[in-house]
Amino acid sequence: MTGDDADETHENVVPGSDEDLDTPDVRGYDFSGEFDFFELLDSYATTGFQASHLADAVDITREMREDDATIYLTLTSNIVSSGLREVVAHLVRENYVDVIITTSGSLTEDIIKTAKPFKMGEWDVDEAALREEGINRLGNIFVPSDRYVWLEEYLYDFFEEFFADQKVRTPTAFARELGATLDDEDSILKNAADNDIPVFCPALTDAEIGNFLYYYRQGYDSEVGIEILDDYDALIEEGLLADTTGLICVGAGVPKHHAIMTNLFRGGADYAVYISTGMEGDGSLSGAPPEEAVSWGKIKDEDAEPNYALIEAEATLVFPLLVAGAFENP
Amino acid sequence: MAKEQKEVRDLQEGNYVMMEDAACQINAYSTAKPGKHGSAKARIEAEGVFDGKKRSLSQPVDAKIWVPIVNRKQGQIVSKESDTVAQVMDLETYETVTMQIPGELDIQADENIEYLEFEGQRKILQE
Repeated sequence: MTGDDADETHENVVPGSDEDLDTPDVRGYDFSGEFDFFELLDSYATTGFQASHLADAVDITREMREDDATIYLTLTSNIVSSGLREVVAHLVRENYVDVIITTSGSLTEDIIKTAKPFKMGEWDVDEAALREEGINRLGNIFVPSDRYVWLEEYLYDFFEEFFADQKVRTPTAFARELGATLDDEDSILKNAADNDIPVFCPALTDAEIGNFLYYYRQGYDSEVGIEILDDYDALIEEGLLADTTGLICVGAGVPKHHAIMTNLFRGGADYAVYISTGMEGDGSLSGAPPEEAVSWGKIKDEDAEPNYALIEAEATLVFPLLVAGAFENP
Repeated sequence: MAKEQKEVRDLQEGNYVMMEDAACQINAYSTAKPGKHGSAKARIEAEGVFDGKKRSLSQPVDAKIWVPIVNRKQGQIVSKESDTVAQVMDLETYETVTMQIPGELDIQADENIEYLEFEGQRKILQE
């Protein structure tokens, strides 16, 4: 290398310095002092990667609450399969959320858990042997088939009451009236019924509730039916009447889309927090980040402050932390 | 009474069963053990006795189901109105009724036949 070349190389280095960056230093939690849970959580803001996304989500959720936003909590049924059921039930019991949108599996599993627990299992098992034993696996959670036999009887008794005066009912009426029959303080449906929080479930047939409705209609009452458009109307109106709305989407699928789609009618949600492991690359709604919903007018775009966040993580790890930071930190 | 009530578990292939208000004969019967669909379920495939339409259902094995009482009767062809319709005299009551002749059946007047009857519907049986 000649002397001239060295000078040229040196001149081309753009040094970059602190002066151009008025952002905080990257710094993690210091475990050497007395441990404080909320300080640990605060340190996520400067830890980087998904920790800082979680910190953003906590901030945005706190803003939703300060703004007295109508808060929509959307969740998929694996959330209820897991121990997050109790976390969701807490939010509902304390009236921290105003609208729940979920799938039929959530309703099914919440009902079952009022009578019989799900059991910790294993990921790696002989599936055919489990089938023989009448044990169903979801992740590392086991659900014995007797839960569904119990559910069948419980629902048949409920159906008779539920369809007694009106043959065609809505999913929200289903969740409300069923929730009122449950006796379990950890039940999402029971707490929602007590606090008059609507539980929307547009895909009500997509779980055992659907299966038992199918058998019930064949065997006992051919006139029963489920009407979903009335609920859609009510959900859109909920959004139109709200001054401010905020979405907390735990997992994706139909519940997430139902929330942002009905917020479209009011010009978009004011705040949104997603917890998702969905990937963006396939173009699916489930994998779509909040930015994409801005383009459709489903989430508002605020120039000043970020009004949405995506935590790319699995919900059992981060949702309790979000709840702690946003709802339980004094 | 032209119908009786049974439990789904009592049925088997060849039995009659009411499906969608039509008398049907069971072609296939199988059961699935308890699982996500709840208690044990039976799956039945059947064909309408008089309309030939295929139907299926899945029901709990302890569900009640209607079974039609389909009578097998003796008759004599009085006359053929066409290739597909005949006048048949019942050999017990001597009452004469009109009924369809199944497509491929070649019958002549004065021949004795057997037919199925259920609630006013009749079908000539093939040998």
